[in-house]
Amino acid sequence: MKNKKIIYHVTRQYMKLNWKRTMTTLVGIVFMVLLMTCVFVGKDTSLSYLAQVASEKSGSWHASVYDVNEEQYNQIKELNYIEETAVSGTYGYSYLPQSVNEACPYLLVKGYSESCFDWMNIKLESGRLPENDSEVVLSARALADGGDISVGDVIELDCFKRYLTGINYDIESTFFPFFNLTVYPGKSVEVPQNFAYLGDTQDFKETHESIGYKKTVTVVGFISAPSFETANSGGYAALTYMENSMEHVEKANVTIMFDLDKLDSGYGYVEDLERITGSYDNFECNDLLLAFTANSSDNTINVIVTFVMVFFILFIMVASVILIYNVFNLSFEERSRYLGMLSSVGATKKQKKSSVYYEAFSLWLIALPVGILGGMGIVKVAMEVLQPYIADIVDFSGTDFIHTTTVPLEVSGKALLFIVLVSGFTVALSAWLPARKIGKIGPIESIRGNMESKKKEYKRNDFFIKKSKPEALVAVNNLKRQKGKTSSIIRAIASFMVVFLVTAFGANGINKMVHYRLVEDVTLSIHTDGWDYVLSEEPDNAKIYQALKEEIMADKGVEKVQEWYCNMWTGTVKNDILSQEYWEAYHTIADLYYPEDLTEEQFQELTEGNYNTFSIIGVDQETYEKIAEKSECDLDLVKDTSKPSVLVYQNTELSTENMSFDDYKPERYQFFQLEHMTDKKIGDTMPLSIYNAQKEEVEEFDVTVAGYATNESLKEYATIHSEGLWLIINTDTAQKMQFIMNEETDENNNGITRELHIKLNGTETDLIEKLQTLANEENYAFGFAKAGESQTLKTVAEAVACIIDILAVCFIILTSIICILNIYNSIWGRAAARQQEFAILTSLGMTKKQRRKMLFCENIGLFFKGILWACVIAFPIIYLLKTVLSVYFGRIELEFPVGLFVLAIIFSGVWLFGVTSYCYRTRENENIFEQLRNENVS
Amino acid sequence: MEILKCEHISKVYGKGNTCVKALDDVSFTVEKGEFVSIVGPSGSGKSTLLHILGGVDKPTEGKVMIDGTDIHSLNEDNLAIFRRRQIGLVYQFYNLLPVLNVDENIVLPHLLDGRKMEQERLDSIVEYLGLTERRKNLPSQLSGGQQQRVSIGRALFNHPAIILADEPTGNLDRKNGEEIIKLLKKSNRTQKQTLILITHDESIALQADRMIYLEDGKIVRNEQIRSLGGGIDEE
Repeated sequence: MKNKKIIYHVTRQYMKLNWKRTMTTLVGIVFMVLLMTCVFVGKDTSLSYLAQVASEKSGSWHASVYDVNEEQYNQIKELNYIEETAVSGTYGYSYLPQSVNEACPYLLVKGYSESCFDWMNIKLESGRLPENDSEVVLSARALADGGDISVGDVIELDCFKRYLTGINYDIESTFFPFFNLTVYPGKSVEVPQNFAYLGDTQDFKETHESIGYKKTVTVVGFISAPSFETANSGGYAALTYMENSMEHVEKANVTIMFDLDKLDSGYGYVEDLERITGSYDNFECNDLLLAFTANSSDNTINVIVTFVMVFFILFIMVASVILIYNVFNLSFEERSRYLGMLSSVGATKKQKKSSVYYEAFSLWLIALPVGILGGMGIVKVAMEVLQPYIADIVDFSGTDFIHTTTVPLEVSGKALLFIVLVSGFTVALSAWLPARKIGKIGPIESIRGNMESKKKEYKRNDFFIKKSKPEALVAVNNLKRQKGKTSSIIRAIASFMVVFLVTAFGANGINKMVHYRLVEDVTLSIHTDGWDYVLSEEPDNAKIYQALKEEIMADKGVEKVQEWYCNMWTGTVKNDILSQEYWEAYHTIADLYYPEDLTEEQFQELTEGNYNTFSIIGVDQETYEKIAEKSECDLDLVKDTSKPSVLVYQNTELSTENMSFDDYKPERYQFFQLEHMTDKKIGDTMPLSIYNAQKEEVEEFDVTVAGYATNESLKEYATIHSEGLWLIINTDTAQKMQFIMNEETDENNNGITRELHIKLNGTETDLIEKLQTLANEENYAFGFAKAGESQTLKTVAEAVACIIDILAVCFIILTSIICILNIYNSIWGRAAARQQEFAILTSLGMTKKQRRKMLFCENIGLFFKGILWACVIAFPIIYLLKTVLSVYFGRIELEFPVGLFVLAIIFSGVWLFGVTSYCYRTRENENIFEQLRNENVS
Repeated sequence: MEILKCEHISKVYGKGNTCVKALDDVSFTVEKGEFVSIVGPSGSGKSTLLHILGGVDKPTEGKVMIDGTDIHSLNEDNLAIFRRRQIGLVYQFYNLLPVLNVDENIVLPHLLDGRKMEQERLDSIVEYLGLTERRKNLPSQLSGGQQQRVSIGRALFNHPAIILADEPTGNLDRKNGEEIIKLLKKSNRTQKQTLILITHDESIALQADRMIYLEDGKIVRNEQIRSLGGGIDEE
């Protein structure tokens, strides 16, 4: 037998002999591979599935470029990452005489080349798709609205552009906020493609300009309303066939599919398209789909995806390295003894090292298939479990897709290679240090086993001797003088807490990033938890609301009501009202927009005379006081109803998303969640400027700052996501403001709307039925819905946030299992190594009770050292994470997970003491006789 | 005065075909202050006997009376208490606690008994053992002879009824071995410390008052070499 084979043989024997330890190491490595599989395969599978969902929602195209000429078209095609292009064109609007919907009298006519039908996710409901430019498919909405049209009908298309022309010279302009469209008197402006048909009003009229496209076409089919057709569009979608070339057209739209493997940075294509088309406004990217392929034009999404992966993999590696290293370190002396013996008969340093590597890699080879298959199973099960959940929270027309398809596992060779390489590297790294240590030990030291004591003298521990506490004496000396042997347990406890805390903190960070960045949250959301119904006031219908409110309050079936006043942009405040922190964040964001950083003077110039709007939330005095009690405030000011007071909402959010400067595009995404929106002190007067529409002048309205509301103090009542100043006031103050804004409050509420939360008491009443019937009859006069129903529907992005939440929890649990195994293994290994020590103590007359006391003392020390190390390691990592997040994302409110910290402490304490008790109890009755005859104790 | 009485001690390991009788009906007595050596070939049951006498192993049959107490009738905790008060064990491989320095190792059984540390006694024992310069060292920093001296100090510290020494010189060179035996003999002679010693070395065995010869688990000879306390072999 060759020398190396002997080493391997001895190692195998050693592994068999210590099978429990071998099994724990194996389980640890299996978990590591399993987790890595979950991360790599899970990421591929979930992103691929979400990409499918996203393409169902908005199509499978990656980018669309508008009004492209032939030269630009050729430039686009020459980009090396373009896989395919498809030409399409918008011909304009044409009348549809068969339409019976007065709000939708047109067709919006577009030409699609063959691929476009597929990429734009056009779904045929009846008939077939057009095969030449004399055929057309129409939106099935035209039929659903009662249109008298069917397959085979012939339509005359005479396309035109739509304009709105301002005709009321008494007003400055008419603004359409959802389309960012302003119509000035005497001027015409072209309307965007999904603009509603509003007819002629006293302020503006609609005019048309023919574009010369006339054609007689045959309807060959009906399609589901495509994504560009909204419910309020003035025209039904009509799609005809178009050649996939620019030969016969001057300008067209070009839809692009990228070769994703060739997109190197994931961001360069935006610059290329901007360069070719001359402006960011001339093209659009399918960001949701690209986000799920980690190639979004929005770099933040890519950062999040990459961050999540790197973060998870890093922590799996750290947890695994500590586990495997600990196992090898624990068995160091036993191993060094048999290796020392081999060394004395000629085994070289390299051969000794190879023993450690042999054990590590043989276990890794077993763990690899088990872990990969297990991981794939977990991903499959998790995705199947999550699928209906996705369906539940994603709202879009293609929901059926989620219900009817299964989630295919996406296992790429690349992912498998990564798993093999990263797990192999982790195992090698874990074995490297013990191997190096063992390689250095000579045969005599190995056999004698005295490798630890370096100090010359060890002072007597008089404290415990004088107190006659032998258990504490042995325990403390074990901790102080055998650091190498106790450090594995300390390391295991610390690593559990660090991994648990940092992953929890990181997951929270990721969650917040996703929420802030991806979730298009409403600006203000009044919470309705605990209420049954919500009655909401519609603009210009104050009387109806007031009458209904009185009816509701008088009804026997109503237990209580709560009324909220809400209004955005109520008025303005001067610059000095807003805090230094606000202006600094504002400056940072402005710098990201402008090509060069703004100097202080330039910034002052930019912000001089800013209209800093403020918005209000008004609530009854009782609720106002409750919010105040949860906030930092002066309750006397809050309770003093004779003077208008406000609680200033402090956690305003500024970002490159909710702020813009001229036509510039920001360099990157940046987010700030402020801690102080104003530097005004409690008791200070805050002058507000409110526009009086009747008097046509700005009126000053002074309020007293009674306190500061935060997300925390408001969480029970409302959520605010806004870049502006929000003030929480009582209803009296709200009414005063309303009065200024419009003196005729009963007729017109001019912006401030009310929301009545209703709680029923269970008494039979027909109130709800009456309200529901009335709400259906009186369209738009008031809103009435069950509490919770009126909230904004969630998006795919929010689904991603939820999925990340679930995955983060799973990840924390699985990595914690590795760490828990590590603690168990360390305690068990130490217990096994201390048999002789305990035999001696027993022979010296130590009772079981004294031994347990000694272990208790030891564990107290280990526990506190573990916590101390966890703090020393976790806090800087958390700080670093926070810094990295704020650099790449922005300043967000990330609290230290105090609750989880306490939980981790309790759990690790219970686990440490429990496992110690178990491991040592099972050894309590072992025969000490043989142990006493062994050569030495280590 | 009889300090130890063994009555029909038998010890059987295993069952059936694998059954090994380590001790077979061993009976003897030891007087207070007596120095008894137990000799015999390897596997004759010497160490088993010593561990049964020390209460760290239990006999299959028979009983051991130390100072009038049947030690194997005691429960585990009481036996542990009895052991730390009445028995001093000295092993071939010292069995010191590696994390305790010389002083701490010596006083450990005393502390385990819940008693206050007697500094003067510790100082005199350390001096007696010639370990004054090594008091702050851990066992791993001591030579074999020094470690064995610590082990003797630990055994003597509590004034035990009996010291049981299992081949205390087996792991030492001749010079160190002789020094250890001198120390044990000195405590036996000067402090009337009862001493039972297992050895392979005939010259050591012959220094005892009495020699018990074991073979195949049986006492084959029980010879009085000299009268109790007689023939003090001073340095």
